[in-house]
Amino acid sequence: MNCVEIKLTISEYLDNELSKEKEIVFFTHISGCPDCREEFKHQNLIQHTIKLHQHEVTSRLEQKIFNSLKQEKKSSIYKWIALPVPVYINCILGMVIIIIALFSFLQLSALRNDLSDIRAKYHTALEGIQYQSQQMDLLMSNMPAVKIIGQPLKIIN
Amino acid sequence: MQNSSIIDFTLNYNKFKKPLFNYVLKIVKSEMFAEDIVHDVFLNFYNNLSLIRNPERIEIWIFTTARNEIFSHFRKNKNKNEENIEQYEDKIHIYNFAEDYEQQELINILEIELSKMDSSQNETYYLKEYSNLSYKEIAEIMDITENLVRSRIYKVRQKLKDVIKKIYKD
Repeated sequence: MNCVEIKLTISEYLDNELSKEKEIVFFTHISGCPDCREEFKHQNLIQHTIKLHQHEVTSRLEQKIFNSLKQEKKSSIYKWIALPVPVYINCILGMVIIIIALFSFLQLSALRNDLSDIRAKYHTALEGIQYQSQQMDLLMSNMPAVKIIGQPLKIIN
Repeated sequence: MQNSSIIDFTLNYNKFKKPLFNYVLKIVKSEMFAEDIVHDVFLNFYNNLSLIRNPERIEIWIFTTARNEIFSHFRKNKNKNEENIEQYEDKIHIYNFAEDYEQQELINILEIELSKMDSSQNETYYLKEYSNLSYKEIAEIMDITENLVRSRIYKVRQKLKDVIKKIYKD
């Protein structure tokens, strides 16, 4: 590595962007080159000066930030409370519709149950009638033949 | 906000408040505007903390948001900016960081030299010096190449070194 390349490497080293292998080459050169060593010393001093001497964050700013954060916390709850009126009306209407739908569903279920009861009773009655009819047929078919006494009826035209 | 989120916010706030404030201050050159911008960045951070899933991305998020706020500031305050810069440059001499007179002089000289440089150069330099971001991450934030980041920082350092060399020669 020559001195021109080393100058660029100094910058990368100060920024922690130098690989371990390049670091070895870098320090080997620095140890043997007074000019590059001088350059490294100056760059180090500049970086140290800039990094070390920073403004503190003012208490005014910190107070402002934390007051705003408190407001943010409150406002997220407040947002739910202070909704415009139409939103509340829509919510109430929605709930009413849901209640009506639920009520209708329950009524419909009850009606269905009644209908099935009626159907069952109808089928039972129908079976009863069919049974009686069968009994009548049996009775009629088992009765003996009877001679009818008397004149046959005249058919008047 | 849950307790763990509050802890995360507080930890990150304490870690980044000083470097962020100094970075923004150096770019906008006004304490008042720097405070407003830093305030907005942390408020934004508080509201969006749950959306940042990767903790390693937090620093990038904070400095990217800061840059966006700075751009908005410059758009809104076009006319006021020149006044602010003059006031800031006057104030540089008032800030006393070091008890040692020579150290203080050195800081002042470096600050003045940096404030004279092209904004794209010194912004890259300040972003590197005040954060732990890599060249790659800075390139992502500034939407430039890694080599350009490397080259800008190098050029700034060379200019500062030339000034230091003159002082030590004298």
